Amino acid sequence: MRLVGALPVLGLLLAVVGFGWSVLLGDWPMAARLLVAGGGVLFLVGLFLNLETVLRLVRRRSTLYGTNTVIVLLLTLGILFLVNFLVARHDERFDLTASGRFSLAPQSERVVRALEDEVEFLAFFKMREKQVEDLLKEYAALSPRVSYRFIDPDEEPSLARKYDIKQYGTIVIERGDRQEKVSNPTEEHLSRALIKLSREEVTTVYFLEGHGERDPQVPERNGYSEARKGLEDEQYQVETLNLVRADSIPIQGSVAVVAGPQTPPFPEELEKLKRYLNSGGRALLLLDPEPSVGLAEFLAEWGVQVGKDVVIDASGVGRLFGAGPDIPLVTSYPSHAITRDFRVMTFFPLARSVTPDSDVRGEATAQSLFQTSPSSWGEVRLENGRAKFDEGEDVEGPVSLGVAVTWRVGKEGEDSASSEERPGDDGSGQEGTSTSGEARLVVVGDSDFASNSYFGSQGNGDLFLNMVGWLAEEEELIAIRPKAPENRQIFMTATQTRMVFAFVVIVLPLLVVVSGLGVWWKRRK
Amino acid sequence: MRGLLTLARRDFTSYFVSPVAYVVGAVFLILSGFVFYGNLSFFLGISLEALMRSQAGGGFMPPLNVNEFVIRPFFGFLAFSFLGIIPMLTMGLLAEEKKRGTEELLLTSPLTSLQLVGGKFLAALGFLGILLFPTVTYQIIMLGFGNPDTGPMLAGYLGALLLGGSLISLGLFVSSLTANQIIAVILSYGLFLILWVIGFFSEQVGEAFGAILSYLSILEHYEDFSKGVVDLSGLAFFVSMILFGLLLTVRSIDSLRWRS
Repeated sequence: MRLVGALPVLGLLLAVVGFGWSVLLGDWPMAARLLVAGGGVLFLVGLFLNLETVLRLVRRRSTLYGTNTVIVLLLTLGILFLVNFLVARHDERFDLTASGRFSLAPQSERVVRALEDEVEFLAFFKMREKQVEDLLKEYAALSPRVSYRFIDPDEEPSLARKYDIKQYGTIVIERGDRQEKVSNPTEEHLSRALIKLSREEVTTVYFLEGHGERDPQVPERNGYSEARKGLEDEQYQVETLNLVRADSIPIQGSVAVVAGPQTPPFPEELEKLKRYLNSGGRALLLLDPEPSVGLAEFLAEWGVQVGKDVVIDASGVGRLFGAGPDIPLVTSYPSHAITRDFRVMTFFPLARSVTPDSDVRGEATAQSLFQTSPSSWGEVRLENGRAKFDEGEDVEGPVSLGVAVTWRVGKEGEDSASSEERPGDDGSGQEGTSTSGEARLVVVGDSDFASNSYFGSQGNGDLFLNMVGWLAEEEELIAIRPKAPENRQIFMTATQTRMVFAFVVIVLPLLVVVSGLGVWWKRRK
Repeated sequence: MRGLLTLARRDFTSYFVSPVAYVVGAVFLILSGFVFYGNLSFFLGISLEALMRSQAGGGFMPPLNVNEFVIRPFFGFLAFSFLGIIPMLTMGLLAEEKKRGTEELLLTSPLTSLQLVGGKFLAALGFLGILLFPTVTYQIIMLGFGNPDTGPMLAGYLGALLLGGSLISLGLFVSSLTANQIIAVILSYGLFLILWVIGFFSEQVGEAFGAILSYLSILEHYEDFSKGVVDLSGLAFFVSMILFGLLLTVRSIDSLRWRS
């Protein structure tokens, strides 16, 4: 008899378990469905069998009261849930710290609030770092579309592989099927990556043609099809452009690449390139030692000295990799955005020196990107295939092979103070200026390094892609200065420390005990 | 309203009559004193080291900020200690009445259940406040020897009171369910444990449910306060918890009155 009485309870229990299970999984496996169905049936059957008792129960006042209570509770819960939900959606956070450590910069806030899709931060850390979590929490608090997750790459190797995680502390920001990887999780880097992700426009890389430049469609060893594939993998669009036929290079979302021209450009092409750069354009010039195409003068205006030499690397390191002295190697990189975390070796078959000119006019800053070893030099005169360092004539090592130049360009119509100094500006701008207000130029003394035969070797491909990546950054440079580290230190002498200990651990509790005893004593009276 | 306050005052003072309050208070102060001192001396140590090295830290090295090393962990400990103390505070309130039989007086009193419950809640919260009061000396000590950021201190105490209030209201509810003090305590600890770890499961579980679970994690919300961030959803959450706990208790008391 007791068993029959227990049936409805049992049935209810089973149903709840089944339902709970499915909710936990977020899915409806067969077993859960059976549990719910079976439990439901059992419950009904039990009710039926115990009909008399049930009716008596229902009529009792306490049950009515109980049901009433349950309804009130559920209603209240519902209201509270709703209120919390609404508040969470329109959350406001008040950072009471003096330095605003837990609030994001206005630029970051702008980016997050402008987001229209779901964005997820995947933080691949061995352990949850508090600082990083604090930062991610702030991003997530700004918009219900932002969420974050900590993933231990060792515990989830498949995920780590999926996102190609190479080191701990990498954060992948995912938006739909696009993603950005950030290896240094500061607010600046994360916001930049967010900006990149939220841009709808795709950057187009224009390979200029018409002078025997490398062809991104050619799959042979001297072609650039590998480079193109690498670019397309990074969501860039690749096109070719002939500056004789085209009026100008499109200014928005573009990077121009001149890869190994074989003949000198026409003056009008040079003009268009100049105008493009002066409007905030971004260009990558890869110039081989032979044949010389006379761009030296053009580039000198931007503080880039292109040497009429061939760089010889006599360090012997190359021979370990089967590279002769005419293939200079680069193993260390000065700090620049392009090579910031770059640790891999790169090599440049048949290269010429490209050096920054410290004497550059205007606001341009030219910086050497990488240099060969000290036991190398730029050979000006190659006689009978034999090279020797000639003091005074040849360029002494270490030799710079690449230079990056940046300079600010005024917005259209603005009269910037240094307009006379701006190299080659003839006033007739092309359609508008880029939104970033900054022109960038990278010149490398070799185009072979990124050709199909060498693109996949060592760090060559990555270096090429990094260069384009740096050039493509269109967003206004968000220089989000990291919150100044607060120095709030405490200095106490040993005596003072002891006194604090005594006070805190002994005196205070003692006071409590004493007052307790005091009260007890008083009550005894 | 007046009845509520009268009751609150009565219960509040009755705390100071019971030896439990003093034992709890002393133990709490000893423990928090130790924790505070421990963090402080550690911080003093590394401060000295940094001074000797006098080298700017870069990258991920946290700034030598007393808030980060001493104050924030202190509030963290506070939360933990509340989980331990509050069941003991609340078990006395109702279970004691039942045991002593004074419940009859209570149940036949003209006061509404709401007033009864509200009074006990305020009394417990008041007592918690008194308990926290000595810890303010810690902050004063730090202000005396350095320049800690005061914003997070205020936020921390606010969060502590809100957290305490939430736990008290839930503890009251559990206490109203049984006359047996021991069961009340055990149930309270069980409930608090669940609330504590509920956030940890948010990742194992499906999307929507996971978001709910992590919202329910009281420690998540409290952490914001202990950092110095006053978050609207945190406020809403704690107030909701307090209200819901009180509602449950009121209903529970009501049903007791019905039965007698």
